[in-house]
Amino acid sequence: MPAAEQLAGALIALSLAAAVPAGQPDPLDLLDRMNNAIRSLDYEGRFVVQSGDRLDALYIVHRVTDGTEMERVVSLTGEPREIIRGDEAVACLVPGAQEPINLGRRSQGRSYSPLTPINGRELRQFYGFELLEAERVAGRDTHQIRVIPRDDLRFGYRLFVDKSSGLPLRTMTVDGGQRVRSQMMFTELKVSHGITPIERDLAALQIARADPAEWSPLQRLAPAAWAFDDGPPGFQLNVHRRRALPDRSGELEHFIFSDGLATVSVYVQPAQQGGVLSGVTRRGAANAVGRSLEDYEVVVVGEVPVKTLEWFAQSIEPAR
Amino acid sequence: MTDQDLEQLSALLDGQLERHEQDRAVLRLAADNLDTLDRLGRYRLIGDVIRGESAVVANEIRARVNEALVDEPTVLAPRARSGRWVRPVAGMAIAASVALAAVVVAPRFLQQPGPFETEPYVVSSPAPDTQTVRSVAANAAPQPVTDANPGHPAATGQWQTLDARMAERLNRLVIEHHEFGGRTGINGPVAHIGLVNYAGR
Repeated sequence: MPAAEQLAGALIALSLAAAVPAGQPDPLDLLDRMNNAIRSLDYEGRFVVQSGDRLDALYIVHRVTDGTEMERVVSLTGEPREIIRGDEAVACLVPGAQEPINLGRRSQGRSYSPLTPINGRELRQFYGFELLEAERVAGRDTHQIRVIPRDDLRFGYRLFVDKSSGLPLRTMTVDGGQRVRSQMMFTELKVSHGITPIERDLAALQIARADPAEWSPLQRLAPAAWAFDDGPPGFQLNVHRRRALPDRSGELEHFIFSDGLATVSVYVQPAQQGGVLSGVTRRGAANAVGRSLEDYEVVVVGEVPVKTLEWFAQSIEPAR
Repeated sequence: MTDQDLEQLSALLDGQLERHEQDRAVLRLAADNLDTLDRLGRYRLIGDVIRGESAVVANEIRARVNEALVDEPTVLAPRARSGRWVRPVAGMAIAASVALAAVVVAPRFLQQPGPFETEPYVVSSPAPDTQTVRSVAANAAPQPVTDANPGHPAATGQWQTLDARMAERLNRLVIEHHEFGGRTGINGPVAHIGLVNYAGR
């Protein structure tokens, strides 16, 4: 590489480096701590969630026993809804639904939702970070972080991170028009001590364990049938998985991309009899874009601008 | 296990494969026959120990085989670093009414915070152009979904313009998106926040 380019690269890197005032925590360190705290701590509390014009109140208890996470989330407003999350499965209990929405997982403690450490250098290419004035949330002191996207392919965020535990006590997702697309805030929180046991709902987890027919090692090991040509900048493929469709009519391929903060899922499956999702729909901060591609349906979902989802939808093609 | 598999196993144990080839070989062999692979791994381990050579490779392969079998889905991202584990302590539930809490906090909660109003921070935010997607999908039939004016701020609690059946299918995809996409605090303490909402009707 010519010296001039190396120098330019170094200057860019310097310009992207954090300018953290002395005595102030680095926002990226706070993000990293936050991401670990939500998985590794015991906590219990109540929080409110705004998504679009809808406001929900929820209760959560999260416990870690011998390295295994167990979690229960209950809706306190509207229809009773409950989610039980254990090491082997996730059960979503929705009265009135034809059947619970269950996600099975393999045993032996391997999370299927990997936590990726914050990569500050990469993140700073696409986001700016500011530490704002501290605020109190749920009676606790927080660090307030503003995350500013550097382009229009991502949303911004405002985070209030508990100084004591590192847990996110309030989060907001903000679109390019400065509108809050969704937000949550704890109203009460207990951390580490006096946390209610999660016992009575273990039966639900039994129901929700993996359906072996949906999990086929041989199929899972097959190479992806789809590829992406020049996707949105900054988004890396993190996960590729397959599962059988419920009626065994084929299989679904699932690609998950992330830029370190925002996540986008791309699903490809044989076109469904009930119709193909085509066009755009949204709910709260989540957008979804659908299109047909040959005899397949492509659905792209994520808490990012529609433009980003459309980019993914257009860049997918059969793997050669 | 075929001769080719044994050859590949041998190359794997001897460290003659590149990293991406190692992963592919481990996954394929693991899917093929765990018992055989495990036995051969043990033989290799014994041999290594007898010869005074490193036993790390055999141990690592066994660990990776076991990991591969429980690895759903295939994770391409870097491993998470270990967190601080805290043993749970039994206790009592929070007593206060969340309804009261919601009423108390709602005005402040729903208020747009200052800096977002006064300091626009996105250089450009053009209205999303859905024409491309719709033109691509024009040949598909039927088309139950149309453009939902995604730039409009007044989102509802449900997917815009989706019929119930399509919404239910999309809900499932969103749940998987949250569950498999990596859990961070960026959208709150748990991915289930979205999940609970999406599961609702």
